[in-house]
Amino acid sequence: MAREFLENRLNVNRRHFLGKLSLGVGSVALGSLLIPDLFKSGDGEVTSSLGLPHFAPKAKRIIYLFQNGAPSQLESFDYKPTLNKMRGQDLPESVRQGQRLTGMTSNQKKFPLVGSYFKFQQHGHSGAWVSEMFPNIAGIADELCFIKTMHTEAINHDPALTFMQTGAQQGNRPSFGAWMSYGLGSENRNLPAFCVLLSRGRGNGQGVYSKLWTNGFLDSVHQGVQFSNSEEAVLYLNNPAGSDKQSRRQMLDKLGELNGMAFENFGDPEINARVQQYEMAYRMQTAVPELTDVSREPDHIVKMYGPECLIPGTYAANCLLARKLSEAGVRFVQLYHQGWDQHGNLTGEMPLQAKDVDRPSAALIRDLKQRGLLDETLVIWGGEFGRTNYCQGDLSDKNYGRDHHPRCFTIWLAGGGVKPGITYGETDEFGYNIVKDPVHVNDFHATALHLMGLDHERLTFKHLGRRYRLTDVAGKLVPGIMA
Amino acid sequence: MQSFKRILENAVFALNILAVFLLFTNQWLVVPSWLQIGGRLHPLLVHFPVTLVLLGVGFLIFAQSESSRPLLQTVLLAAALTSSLTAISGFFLSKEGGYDDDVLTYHRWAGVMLSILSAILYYAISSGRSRQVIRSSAALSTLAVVIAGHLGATLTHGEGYLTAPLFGKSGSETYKVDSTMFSQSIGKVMEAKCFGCHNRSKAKGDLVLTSAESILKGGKHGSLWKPGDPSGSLIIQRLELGIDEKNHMPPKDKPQLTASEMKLINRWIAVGADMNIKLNAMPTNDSLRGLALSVGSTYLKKHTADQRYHFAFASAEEIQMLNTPFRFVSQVAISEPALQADFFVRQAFRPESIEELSAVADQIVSINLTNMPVKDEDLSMMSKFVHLEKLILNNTDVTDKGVQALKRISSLQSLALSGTAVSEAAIDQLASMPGLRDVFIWNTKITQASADAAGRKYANINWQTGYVPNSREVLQLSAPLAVNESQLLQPGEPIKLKATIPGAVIRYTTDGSEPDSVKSPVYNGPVSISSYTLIKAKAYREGWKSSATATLGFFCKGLAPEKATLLTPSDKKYPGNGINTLIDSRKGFMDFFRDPSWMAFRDNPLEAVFHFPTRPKINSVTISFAKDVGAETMPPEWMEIYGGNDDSHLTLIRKVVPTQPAEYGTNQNEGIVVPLGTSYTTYKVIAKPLTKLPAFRKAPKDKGWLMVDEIFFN
Repeated sequence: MAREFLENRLNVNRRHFLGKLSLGVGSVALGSLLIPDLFKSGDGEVTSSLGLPHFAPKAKRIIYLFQNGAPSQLESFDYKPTLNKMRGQDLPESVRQGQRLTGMTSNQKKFPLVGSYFKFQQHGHSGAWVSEMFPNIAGIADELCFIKTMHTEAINHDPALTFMQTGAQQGNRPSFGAWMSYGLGSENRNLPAFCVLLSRGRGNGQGVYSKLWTNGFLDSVHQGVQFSNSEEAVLYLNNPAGSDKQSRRQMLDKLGELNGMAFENFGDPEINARVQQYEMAYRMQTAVPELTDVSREPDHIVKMYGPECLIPGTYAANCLLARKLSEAGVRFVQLYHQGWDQHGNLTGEMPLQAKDVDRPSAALIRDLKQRGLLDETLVIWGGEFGRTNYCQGDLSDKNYGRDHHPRCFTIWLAGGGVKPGITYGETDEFGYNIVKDPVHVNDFHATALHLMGLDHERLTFKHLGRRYRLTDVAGKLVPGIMA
Repeated sequence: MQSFKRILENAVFALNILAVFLLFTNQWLVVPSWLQIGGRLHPLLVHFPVTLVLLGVGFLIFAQSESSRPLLQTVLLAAALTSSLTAISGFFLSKEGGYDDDVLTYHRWAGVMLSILSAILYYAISSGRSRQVIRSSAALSTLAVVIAGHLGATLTHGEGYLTAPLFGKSGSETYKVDSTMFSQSIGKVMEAKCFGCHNRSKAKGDLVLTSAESILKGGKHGSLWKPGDPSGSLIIQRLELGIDEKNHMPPKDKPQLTASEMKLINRWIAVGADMNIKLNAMPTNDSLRGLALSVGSTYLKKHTADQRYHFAFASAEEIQMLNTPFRFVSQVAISEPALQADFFVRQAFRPESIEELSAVADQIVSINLTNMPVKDEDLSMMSKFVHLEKLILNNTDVTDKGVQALKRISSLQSLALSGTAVSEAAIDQLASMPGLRDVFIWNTKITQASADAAGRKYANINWQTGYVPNSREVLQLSAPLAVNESQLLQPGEPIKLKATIPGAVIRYTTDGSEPDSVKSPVYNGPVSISSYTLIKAKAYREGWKSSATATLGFFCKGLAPEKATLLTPSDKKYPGNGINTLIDSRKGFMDFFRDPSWMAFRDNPLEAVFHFPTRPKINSVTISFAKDVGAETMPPEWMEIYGGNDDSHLTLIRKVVPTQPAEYGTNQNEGIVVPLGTSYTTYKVIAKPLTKLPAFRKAPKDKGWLMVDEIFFN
């Protein structure tokens, strides 16, 4: 035993020690050249661009119309007549290729194919296929860029939704809008740079949680601000009864003086940050009522968005509010419309969902266009994954359901920097696999950032010892959809 | 000596490895300030490898005797060592930036190749390799010295420096840049915009501007400036002459000075026209320094291929000063000098805030004044924005007169006038703007017909009229809404309904039947109820399709029992909060059955007793349950109410068998009202979950859930 200890000690003699020391010090020195803050803690990263795009952007703002629950691509924009012809036949294994299933259909013995119950027609000069459930979206087909080959890694709602919104399935990463706020800052300092609007559909719903609009490890000013569904879009903004603007101003001035004294004493920058927040809230007291004021809107705007746009908290009202927020310089407006999870009763629920979103979505595009804003606003419409080409549960003459399908789904984009009136990518005749031009979620994020003038590889934040991006370590641009 | 040589040999090897490593990783290399000194030694170090490699090769060719061998080895070792050191220092210097990317890449590769080849040459000699190896490595090293050296010279002196005397033109003269403010800003402006005519070979007006001495000498009209007196200075007079004047400089057809360049020269003369003042000796808050930096940066910055705008950058201080909470001014991108300006909050708008943008008039490419109270006269100064491409005036107070003021902005491509009072009269004005491509005239006085006519007459412009309501398109009204905050009404609280579209009429029923557009009563005020009521309401209005039926259930808060007991266990999955769930007046949410405001029964019926010792009159009992056919949550199969004044002798008062849904329908919270009209102390309620689901709803288990949140005694 003693001998082994001795041998062990002889393993490190003076020569070895000096040799290893020089190598060790050398590699540390080299490491510190390549990564100067290798030995620093992770906070305090300054954006290289100081809130400016890396290059001239095509779009200045994003409105993301998230269809939460995953609308079926096969009943909306990806027309597959083969499925109607082969109705009831089993999905060939050569097509499925071992695709994993959700717990909801994994014990199903047969996978009967089912085609769309709803009729499809081609629309516009572009000849885009749109189902009869979306007549208004069909009317603006020439403004839209359909991506038929979106694909994702997750097969269940929460991870897929989180992936779509934050670039990672696990949550707690900064969301798309937070990255945008971090990278580009706010145009209108009287409103938050990232606003979130929720609406409930009439179909089978899935939850949305605030982790989807979290700032993650970014500064909390980049967090999405959820607007209220009530008559007052921003709660607690009004002065309390008996208090007016004048006294509010006086109060803030006095408070500012006191805070100034505190700052003199302690020098804590958080004190100044707090004062700025008070001032912003004070300015929001004028900015928000102007935002919700409809007096400068013509009466027929109601017909354009549909009568529901007067009911706060509906998708139509949120589309109208999204336009106003975006028009007022809000970088990222995130809408969620719930209720698209048609595992069963698809023919009963999907028309209701489509009716909720069809007219307002089209109206939003038209409204941005007629104000000269569509070329600087990127509008995105889509869910978190697709739906299977086979039926979940009972296949009856008039009804069926579809399970989750991550291998392909359709989204559409419109506006800033996107080629209008095109269909990008192709799925096979079963609508199950991609045959041409796949677009991964990371690719989609990389491209959207690019349209906003940001290089997805340079928009980083150092956290826990490494730099993070919205696209993390993946993502390729999709030049085929960029104008 | 020998061991010293060994150390140097190993150092050469190690340094070459490092050089190769840096070659592939240099994009991530960040040089700390102390190492920048090493980088700045590069211009000194380069001379060693050039001389030593060529010297060694010369030795090889001309002095082949054995006796010169040790000297040759020493020279080549020194050559290998210095070339590797030079290569590494080059990596540090390259990080200071300002070099042509392509040339730099080639120079990097050539330098590292030289370093490796000179090392190979040394090893070949010292280990006595064949003549072939020695010769070829010597030839390659020489080639590498020439290439690396030439590329290095190109980097410092500029493209074509070597051959310039052969093909040289006067236009290639540059103003020598040193640390003075003058050479870094005004000199560069002169180089770009004056050298063409005022150089040594072509000295118009006997004026040569290519060096400080010749500038001070002036031309045939005398010296260029009087320090401290800009307006009395010749250069300013010539620059400020009207562009059509013969003596205006630069001549009309040549590139003109930008506003900030003029301002820079003006200020510089005003403060004394000191050509020797050093840029870094000026205080950082000096506005002249800021101007000089921003003007200089335009010329120092290499314009990249994807850059869109090619005019001077505005200074960061100037942009910062223009930013207020209500006016956002920002470069469109970090690499672009172009600025965008956006105005926010109507109440905070001042007309002067547009005028203030003239400080950066050259750079502004887009202005957004949406919803601002902008008047026609506020637009008169817009013609100052010579690069303005996009102007948004939606919902402003601008009229045809204002449009006239915009006519002179020849760069304008897109003009949004939606929601303004602009009329047909503006069409010809708009069409006369040379650069205009898109005009947005939705919701203005311009009719669709005249917009169509304009489109035919002026087809090069897109006349965007947007959405026009179609009177034939009949839309469906939205269903009436309940104004009440909760579907549980407080005692005495009536039901209030609202139609969202103004002018719509609501008709409703309370008996569960569909409202009729003629027979059903019109809602014209709050409706009072005494127990659970299902209201069905529809909105009607001329020119609209009647709305869908709103089905609104309202519960009335009942009498609280003094004591209540649950006799049967609830389902373990949805245990609720014991008997309290049924009597706490807390309604559950339809899609959150796990909340303790709900409790569920499936295998056994719900049985509970309620005590009212004061024997109040109970008109009815209401059970509030969830209906969600998809989740197999159904109405009870039947309900029985027992009553009496003695707990052990309760008699059946009433049994109710609700109708089961025949289709999926909407998921909602419903109630079953059992009329009583009794005054007992004790009541027992039994509700049986559905034992057999309806035929259309097949499920693995055939039983339905009974999901209950409240039992009311009214």
